[in-house]
Parts: sequence; C-alpha cells; structure tokens
Amino acid sequence: MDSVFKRLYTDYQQDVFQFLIYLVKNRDIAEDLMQEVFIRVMKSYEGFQGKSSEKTWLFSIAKNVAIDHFRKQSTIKKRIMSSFDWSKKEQAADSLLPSEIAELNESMRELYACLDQCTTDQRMVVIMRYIQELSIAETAQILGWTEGKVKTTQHRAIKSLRDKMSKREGEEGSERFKVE
Amino acid sequence: MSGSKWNDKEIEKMLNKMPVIKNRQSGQVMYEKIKGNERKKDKKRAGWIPVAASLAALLLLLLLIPPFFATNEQFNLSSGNEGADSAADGSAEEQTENFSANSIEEEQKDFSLDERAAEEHASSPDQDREEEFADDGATGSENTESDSHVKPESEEEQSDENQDAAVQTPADEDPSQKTSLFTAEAAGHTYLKTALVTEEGYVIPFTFLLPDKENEDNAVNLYNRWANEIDEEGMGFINYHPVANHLSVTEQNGINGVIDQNNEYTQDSFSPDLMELVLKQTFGSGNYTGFTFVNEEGDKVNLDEEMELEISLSNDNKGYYLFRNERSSQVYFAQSEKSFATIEDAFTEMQQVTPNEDYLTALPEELSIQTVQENELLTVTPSEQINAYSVEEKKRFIEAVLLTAESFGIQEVMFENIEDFNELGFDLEKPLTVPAGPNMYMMK
Repeated sequence: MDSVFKRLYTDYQQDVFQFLIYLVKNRDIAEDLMQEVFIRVMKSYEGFQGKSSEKTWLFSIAKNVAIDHFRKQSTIKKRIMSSFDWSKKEQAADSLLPSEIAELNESMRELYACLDQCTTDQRMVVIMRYIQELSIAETAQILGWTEGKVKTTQHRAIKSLRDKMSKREGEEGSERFKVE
Repeated sequence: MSGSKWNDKEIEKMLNKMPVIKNRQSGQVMYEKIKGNERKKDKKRAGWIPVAASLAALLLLLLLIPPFFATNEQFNLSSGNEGADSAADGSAEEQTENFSANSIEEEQKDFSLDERAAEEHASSPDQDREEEFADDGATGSENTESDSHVKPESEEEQSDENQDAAVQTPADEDPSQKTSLFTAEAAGHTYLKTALVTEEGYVIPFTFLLPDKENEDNAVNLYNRWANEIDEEGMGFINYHPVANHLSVTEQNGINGVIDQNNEYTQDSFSPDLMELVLKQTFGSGNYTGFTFVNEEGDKVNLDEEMELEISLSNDNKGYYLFRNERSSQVYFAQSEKSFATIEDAFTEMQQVTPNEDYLTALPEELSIQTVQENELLTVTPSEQINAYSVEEKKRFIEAVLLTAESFGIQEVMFENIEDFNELGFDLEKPLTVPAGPNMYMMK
C-alpha cells in the first residue's frame, strides 16, 4: 500500500467518515464519498503546500465532495419532484439509521433527525463545531468563509434545531393527549 | 415556543454527546477500491487501442485503393487542420453555426475524429505521465483535482453512456475555432450573457449572440426579452430560465425579480447556491448593486434563510476550467466559484486543482506560466513545452487565459513562446483583446 495513503488514511479516516456520514446519513453513500475524497487527496497531495494543516485540507476536500454530491442530488430532485413521494424517502433514510444512533435515547435520536431539516451549510457547521470539535478558525478555513459567517451560521443552526425540537415536543404532547 | 424544555445550551450539550459512527472500511479495502477504480479506467483507455488499430488499418486500405478517396472527401477534410486559416477570418454566423452543430455526427465523422485522436495519442506529452498513473493504482482517477487537465480525446475517459459519442466542440470541426465571443467578431449583433444549469447542478456561463442589434442594451431588458427563448433542454441543460416573471432595475441600480407566491423556489429542492451562481454569471458584469426577489406587491421575498435578501452580483477575479456536458457531449468553459486575489494565483490554482470532479483544467500542470502586467496589458509566457500540445489544447489554453484576464479587468493579453499560431485562429504577433464572454451561442 502506498505509504502516503496509508498514513493519511490511518490519521484521518475516522474524522472524514464521521463528517460525511453525519452529513449524508447513509453509510453506503458516506463510504462512496470517502473513496472519492481519498482519490482526490492522492491526486492533489503533491500540490499540497502546507498553507493549512493536513486536517483542514482533508476536510475541505471532503466538504467539496459532499457539496458536489448534494448539488447533484438537488438538481436531480428538482427534475423529478412531481413524481416523487417524499414520505418514502424519509422511510428509506430511517431504515438506514446507523446502529450507534439507533441505540441513543429518544431526544438524541430526534435531534439527529432534526439535523436533516437544517440547511447544508448549517449542518456542516454543526458537525464540524460540535461533533468534530473543530475550532471556529478551522471551520472557517475549511469552508472558505469568514469566522463571522461561521458564528452566524452556527447561531442560526442552533436556533433552528431548538425550534424544531420544541415543535416536535409540542406535536408529541398533543399526540399523547389525543391517545390518553 | 414558551414553556419548552429546549434551550441553546441544552441543544449544544446534546450535539457534543453525539456518538462516534465508526468507519468500517479498512485502509486496505479502501486502497483496493481506489486501485480497482483506476484499473477500470485503464481498461476503458485500453479499449481505444484495438479501435485505433482497426481504424489505422482501414485508413491504410483507403490509401491503397485510390477510388475510395473520391467518395470519402468529407473524411479527408475533417481529419486535418486545413480549414484553420479560413475560419480565423470567418463571420460570427459561420462560427456559431458550427458551434451549435449536433454533437453526435454521422459515423464517418466519428471515424475521422477517432483517427485524429489516435495520432495525438502518439505525440502528446501527457502520454508518459498518464501511463505512470496507470502503473500506480493509488493515484486514482484522472477526472479529479490536480491532474485533470484535458487529454487528447484518445486518452480522455468517456462516460459509459457516451462511449461512442465523439466530443464535438467547434475545435473538433476546426481546431482554430474559438468558442468565446470576441466583440470584433460580433458583427454588430447584441449579445446576452447568462448561465445555464446542467442536470448535475453545474452552472455554465454562455454568451448568446442575438440575431440583430437590439435597442435594449441594458442586460436586464435583454434578459426579459430573451431568457425564455433559450432552448435550454435542447442544448443539454435543465430548464432554469427565466429566474423570475419579470425583472426591473431599481432607482439604486439594483435588480428586482418578480416571482409568484407559489413559485418552485420555496420548495425543498431549491438550491440557493445554484441561484446565486446563475445570477452572478448573468448580471455580474453589469454595475448592478444586487438582486432581490420580490412578490407581485413589491415586497421582498426571502427564498431561503441562508440567502441574503439582496443577493450580491459581484463576479470578478474568476478562473476558467473546462466542463464536458454529458448530455450534449460538448465541452464548455466553466467559471470558478472562487475569486482569486491575483491573476497569478488564479493561473496556479487553475493548473493544479479543479473545483470538482467534473471540471478539467485548461492549463496543463506541467507548464510554467510567467506573467507580467503593465496597466491593462498582460504578457503571458508559458514554457516551451506548450508547443508539444495539440492545436486544440493550445487554443483552450489561450482562451482560458483570455477569459480569466477578462474577469480581472485586463483588456489585452500578449502571448509569448507559442509557435505555429496561425493554426490556432489567433494572431499572436500582437496583443489579443479579451473576449466579451465564454461559450458563444447563436440565438435564432
């Protein structure tokens, strides 16, 4: 095995995978995107000038791969929207819940589900800042944003998640009331 | 919601506790997958060899049986560069008619293209490097990041669906033909700049040459008049235009786009990034302050919470890449999303990195590119290796440099070191004026 590949994969595979799977929420897709990330990494490693850390460089490639994926999905969705049953898509996504998430308590599972309703930018920031524990500076570097934009997006994401969780709580309360 | 147990701190704490989701793919498995991917591509490339050999044999047969020549005139004309000089002086109409020609030509033309590609395969400076890649499976596919500059057609990876479709650009018909619109060649026609969207969500800039000189020189009025006339699907793109029912220029020189209450932009599939790119590439070269969507009452409409109410149209300092539209098999120039601080930075990145897996660099990484800028004249000196590249590759190099220069507000570019430039359709003995826009297309 190529020594550069071996080192990079050993050092960063878990971080990159975690970022991708929380973003796309599907193990098969995350694995495919991982492959694409490491193809790009190996292609461009010689040109890597060390201006950023290896980790942020790898994450920025992973971000580009994920955005390409979403962009393709978005356009495909737009074309077939009229004949697509969105509720089925939700069910398909639920059936692929990673075991690590399935074992969580209900609130945590709900929060994981609410992430889907955030924008891609918000999801990327939440994953990088809270799940990957990257700093604001690192997140800004990976996304090519200002630190201010990271902070604003993070703030909006948390507010959005809070609202969504509250809304679910309200819906569950009224459901329970109806049942009882 | 009042009385809810959820607050920001609680949400943040829970996010911090999200579990690690284990990657189950070992390094060895991933390495094998990447190598397998590379082998598949090698196989595709290898598939050209017997085809090229068969074609070469057939060509030999044609040479040995002179009567065949009389009936294969078209083959002879399209396999060489003989038409280069004449096209350099051609009118805008002639160029655009070729440009909009159907990409999948009759069998005879495919044959001639394959034959030319096979010749280039033997002489391209990329060949050796490409073979090195084939030997080293770890380096992955050719269509990504730094090493993805355009190869001669014989080496280029073809998509599964398009294995037999020749790539038809103006350069395929005539390597001297430019794809950009140069104002001197517009012959008094007005042009409309906009951007079309591919099925995969890529935004490709276009310069539509209108049938006549229009009274409306304002980009917004031109857009109102012509956006709906663009046959996007016919060109291999999705229907995206017009972006609003009607556009108007505000007193502050912003643009308002009127949309219906139940427009498709409020639906789940709307991509604000895509819309911003389209708007920037459509109106970015004007002096408009921004673009705002409004409803029929004139109230501002926020299409997406991540989108500013007034979308900035600033679109300067971009680089240019190549993109092959798989639906039409055409190759177009595509703009970088990123803006660069200097034109040197843009050229360096254009050589080394592509923004996504489907863009190809028009500036070969092997070349060193020296630049000197004096006022609005840029002198570009690529290393002499450039002369080993095909006419088409040199032409793409020149056009990518010119388009990038235009984005940086440079007026003229002087190219040094490029030999045999007559074939390219550019007079490189004097500075070239930058084009008005990329990917010229005749609106009929």
